[in-house]
Amino acid sequence: MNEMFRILFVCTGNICRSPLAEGYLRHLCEINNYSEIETDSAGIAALRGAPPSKEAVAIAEDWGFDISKLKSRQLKKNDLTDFDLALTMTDEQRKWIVDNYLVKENTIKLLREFSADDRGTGDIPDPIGMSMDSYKVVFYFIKKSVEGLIKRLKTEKALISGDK
Amino acid sequence: MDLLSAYKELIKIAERIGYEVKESKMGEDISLSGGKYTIKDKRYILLNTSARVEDRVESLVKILKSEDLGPLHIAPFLREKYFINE
Repeated sequence: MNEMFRILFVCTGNICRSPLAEGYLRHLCEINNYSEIETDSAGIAALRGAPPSKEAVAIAEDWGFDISKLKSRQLKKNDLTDFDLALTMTDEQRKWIVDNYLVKENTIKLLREFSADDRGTGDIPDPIGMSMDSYKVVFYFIKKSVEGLIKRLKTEKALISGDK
Repeated sequence: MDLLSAYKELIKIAERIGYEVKESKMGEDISLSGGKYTIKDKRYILLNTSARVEDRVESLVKILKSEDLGPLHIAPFLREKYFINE
């Protein structure tokens, strides 16, 4: 049995991008029985206890998972040691964490680095205030990245043993 | 003007007003023909080439209608079909 591998997704307000990433990863872990992965999310400028945006909740429902009960929270310094991997949506967020929490740059990665599409080309944009189509584009980036992350964990880290 | 030509022309209009237009085969399980987003003040439109051309045209028109196209030249066919008298 492998040890737990803890993954933290970080965005700005923890009400859209990071809850979607957390929810989608948890969903994939549940349907594939990947019991060694734990996930959570936080924001670098989050209100405490806010629900995910209604658009994010709707997209999650479309894809068969529920994020409606998640509540936003602020990133804490100890998150960066409690989790094995912290993944931000933008390079600006990654740099903010490095500067403000004085952690090593290589301990935090961009989520989109794991995407098979546009690998390493950059940020996952903030859809807040934009149309539902923009939310869907953003979720597409998140989906591809989370799927790429799982693939990487399976092939490189051998962390997942629960394939059906 | 056929649909594909209209599609290409709409992409050119989007590029003229500052969008970078990307096309990607996002898959048919994605219920999306296209959408806009911004990264570091640069504006992008992502179009799903798995979607029908007419649906991509519709997405482009929806995005362009939200913009001030001002004095930009738009081919009469496009202007009449997509931008006037809905």
